[in-house]
Amino acid sequence: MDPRAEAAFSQQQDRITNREVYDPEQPEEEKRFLRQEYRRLIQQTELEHRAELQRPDSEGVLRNLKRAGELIGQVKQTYEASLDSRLLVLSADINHEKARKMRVEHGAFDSEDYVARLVTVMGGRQAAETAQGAAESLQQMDWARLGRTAGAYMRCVPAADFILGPISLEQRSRNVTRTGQRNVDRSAAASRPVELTGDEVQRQENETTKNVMAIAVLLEKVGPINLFEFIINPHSFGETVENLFHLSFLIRDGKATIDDESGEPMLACCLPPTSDDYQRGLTKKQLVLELDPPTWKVGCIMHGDASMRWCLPLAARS
Amino acid sequence: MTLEMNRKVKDLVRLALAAERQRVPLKREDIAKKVLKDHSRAFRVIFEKTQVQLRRVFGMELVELPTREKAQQIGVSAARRAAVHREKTSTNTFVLRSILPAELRHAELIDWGEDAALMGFSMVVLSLIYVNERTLSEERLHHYLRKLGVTERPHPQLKSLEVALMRMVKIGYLDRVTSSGDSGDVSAIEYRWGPRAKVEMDEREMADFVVKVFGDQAPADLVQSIRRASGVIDASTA
Repeated sequence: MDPRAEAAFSQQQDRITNREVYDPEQPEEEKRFLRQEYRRLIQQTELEHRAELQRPDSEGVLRNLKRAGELIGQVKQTYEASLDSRLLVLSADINHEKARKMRVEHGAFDSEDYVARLVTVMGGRQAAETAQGAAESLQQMDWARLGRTAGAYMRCVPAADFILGPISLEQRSRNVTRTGQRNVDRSAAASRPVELTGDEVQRQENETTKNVMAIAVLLEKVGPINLFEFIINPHSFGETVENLFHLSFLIRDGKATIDDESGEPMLACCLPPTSDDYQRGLTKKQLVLELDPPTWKVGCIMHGDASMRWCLPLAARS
Repeated sequence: MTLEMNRKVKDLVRLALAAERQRVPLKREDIAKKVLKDHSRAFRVIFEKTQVQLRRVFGMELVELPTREKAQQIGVSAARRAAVHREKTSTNTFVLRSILPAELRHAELIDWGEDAALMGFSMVVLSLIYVNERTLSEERLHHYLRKLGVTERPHPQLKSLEVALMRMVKIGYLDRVTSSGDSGDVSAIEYRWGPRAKVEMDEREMADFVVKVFGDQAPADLVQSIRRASGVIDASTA
C-alpha cells in the first residue's frame, strides 16, 4: 500500500475510535465510580428531594446538573451515557412542574385554595368544632349536599327507579331454557350405532356365497347369453354392479367363461380347469371390467328389455 | 307510524332508561339484538323517533360517547392531545344526557337519592383534573382528596377513596392511564376525563361550579384563571 494512503487510513481510524469520546477498554473502576455517582444523583433527584426541589428557590436541580456536567467528561461508554440522559430527562420534568407551580404563585388558579373552600362549603369547618379529631370531622362533610348543588352544573340523568329490570334480563333467562331443551332433544334423538355380532358377520359372508351360487344356477339355465343382457337390471345401477360382482367369482373360479370371438361378450358355463391343466402351463390372468352409469345406460338401451327376465329373481331377494 | 314501529320505539326508550339506571353505556349491537331483532336496518328511523320521545317526555336524549383517547405518553400537553384526538370514528355507544335548561337544573328539583354523594365527589374530582391542565397524577389527586377526608379508610358516604374512584372509572367519568417509566421501574398513574364526563360536562358550567364553591370571595378574574389552568390558550384571556 502507498505509504501516504496508509497514513491517511490510520488517521481516519484514530478519528473514529477516538479514545477521548468512546473507549471500549475503560477501566472497570472508573465505570463503577461513574455509575455510582449517577445513580446517587438520580435517586436524590427522583425520590428524596422531589417535593423540595419544586420550591421556586430550590437550587437542587441546578446543583445536580452541574455535578453531572463534571461527570460527563469521564463517560466513555454507552451505559453510563444513558444514565446521564436519564438524569437530564428527570430534571426537565421537575423543572416543568416547577414552572407550573410558579404560575400559581403569580395570581393564577390555586388548587389548594379550591380544596380548602370545598371543605368550608361541605361543612368541614363547623364539624371540626364538634368532633374530637380532625380526621373524623373531615369524614362528616356533606358530600350529598355538594352533589345536589353539582347536579345543576352537570347534565347527568337521574336513575329511573320505576323501571322493572332491563329488557335484556328477561331475554337471557328465556335463552337459558331454550338451550336446555335443545340439549335434552339431542340426547334423546341420538341413536345407538348398530352392533354387529359375530353371527351377523357370518351371515353376510354367506349372503355373497349364496348369491354366487344362485347366479351359477341361473347361468346354467339360460346360458350361453350376452354378458350385459345377463347382468343388467334396467331399474337399478346398484344391483347391476352387484350382479357383476357376484359373477366375477364364477369367472375367477373358472366356472363361467366370456367368449368375445363373435364380437359379442358371450357368457357361458364351463368346467373349471383341473390341476393337470395348470401343470400344462395354464396361467391365471386378471382383468378389470369397468361399469359406470353411462355404460350401464347404454347397456339398458341395448339389452334392458331382454335382461328383465333374468334379473327379477335377484331384485326380489332385496 | 306503524304499530310495530311504535312498539320498537317504546322498547328502545325503556332499554335506554334501564341501561342508564345501571349507568352502563348502551351499545348499538345491543339495540339491534334486544329491540330491532330482525329489523336491524331500521336503526336510524327507530333511533330518531326514540329521541323525539325521550326529549319530549323525559327531558333526555341519547348521545354517542366520544372515542377514548389512545393510550398516550403521560405528560403530553392538552393542546397536543386535542390535535391528535380530532380524527375520530364513531363508537356506536350511547348514554343518556339531560336536556333540561340550566334554569330548571338550578332549581334543584330532582331527587338524586343515593347518587348525590357520588355526584358531589365526581364533580370535585373532575374539576380538580380540569384545573390541572386536564390531567392529574394519582399522587396529587390522593393528596387533594386526603384534605377532603377521603382516604383508604372506610368513609361513611363514599365507602373509601379506592371504591369511589373505581366507581367513577366504571361509569366512564374517569380514564385511568398507566404508564411504566422508561426504565420500567416506577409506574405513573394519571387521571383524565372519561368519555361520559366529556358528554355530561360543559367547560363553562364546570367553571361556574368552581366559582360557586368560592362564593362571595371569588376573585373577579376567577373564570379566566380557571380557563388558563385548564390548559386552554386563547387570545381573549391571555
